[in-house]
Amino acid sequence: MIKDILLVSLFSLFIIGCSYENEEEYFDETLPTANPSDTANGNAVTFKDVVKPLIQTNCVFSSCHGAGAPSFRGDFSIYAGLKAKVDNGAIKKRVIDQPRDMPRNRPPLQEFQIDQLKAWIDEGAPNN
Amino acid sequence: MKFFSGFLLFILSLSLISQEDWAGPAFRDTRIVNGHSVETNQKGQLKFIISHRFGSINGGLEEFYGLDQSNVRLGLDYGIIDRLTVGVGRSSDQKTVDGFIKWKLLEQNTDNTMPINLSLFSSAAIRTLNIDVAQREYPFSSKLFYTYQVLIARKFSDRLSIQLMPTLVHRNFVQTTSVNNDVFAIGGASRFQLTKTISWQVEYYYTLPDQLADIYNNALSMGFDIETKSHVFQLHVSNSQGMIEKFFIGETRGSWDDLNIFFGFNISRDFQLGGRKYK
Repeated sequence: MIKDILLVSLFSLFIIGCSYENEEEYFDETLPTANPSDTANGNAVTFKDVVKPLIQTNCVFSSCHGAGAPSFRGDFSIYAGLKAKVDNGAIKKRVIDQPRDMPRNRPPLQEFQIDQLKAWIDEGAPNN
Repeated sequence: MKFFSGFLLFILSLSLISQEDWAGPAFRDTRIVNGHSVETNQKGQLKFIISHRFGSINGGLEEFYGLDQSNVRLGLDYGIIDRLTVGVGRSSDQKTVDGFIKWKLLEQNTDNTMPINLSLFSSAAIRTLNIDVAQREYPFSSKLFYTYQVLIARKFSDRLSIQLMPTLVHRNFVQTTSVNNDVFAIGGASRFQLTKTISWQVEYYYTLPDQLADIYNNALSMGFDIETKSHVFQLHVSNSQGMIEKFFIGETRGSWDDLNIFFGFNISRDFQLGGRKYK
């Protein structure tokens, strides 16, 4: 019986450490996000105001496409790194076309964000 | 917490009446495909498990039907006593380290005084991949995930076993308020013995409705187990690339509809470090 009680205690260890939190409420400050109406209103989707914040919050992590990432993975902290992946079709293939397997490990992009990215690529992915 | 402890004590009292005439293992290995079976290691048995999941089959010839990509989990399971197994593993997916404890409380008897096998399973996983937004400081707890399962299996005959797995996956930290920290799922699995050494296994985890975004699917996996003296080879296809509960319950993006599924295998090698010799 003592052994059983020890086992119950061991199992209970796996419960300690549970918490209920979410990113929205945990951080007070809001990150720069693109305006959903930009594409709907026909406004130009610019790299600086729309694409960069979108990429920054969804792709530029040190383990993924952060500064110094190897070229086969792509360093999206700089324009040239992202442009290279636009030019070889990787962004279209993995982010815009189905099945969208990027961004991996993060929530998927919303439809308006996909539309913005697509509009920017259709314009030739300018550094504007 | 009180409920959990109460439940454990209730099961404990049941376990006292089921000690003899074991009906034999319901499953040949401690894994079915991705998830755990009701079985535990023998005392002193160390199991080294190498698991692979390749890329999507619908990648076509260009991606060599997924074989160009690979997700790996390396795991070590050890039987402390005959009915208690602990294990650790490391998945390349999100560079996740996991640990688990599995405790077999009830064993099915040949005379059916105890008609089922029942195990409790609990695991914790830590994501070590840094996918945090650069401008923010996240708490350590945001990287932790927990799973609790009750594994209930019945061996109907030497050929057929069926298992049910009510499951709770807890994510400490989710992205938005509209996403649940807790995900409830019910798994079902079966083993059908085809020959003396080969069996066919199917595993399905049904996530209860209104808990996940539309892009996530239920995980359906199936494949063969090939058993040799001290190895078990498991070859299978699944719409989940993840090999621990946190991934295949709640983060399965693959779909059988468009063949966005993944070929994979588990190979386990047993070592006897203590206790009795192999049966």
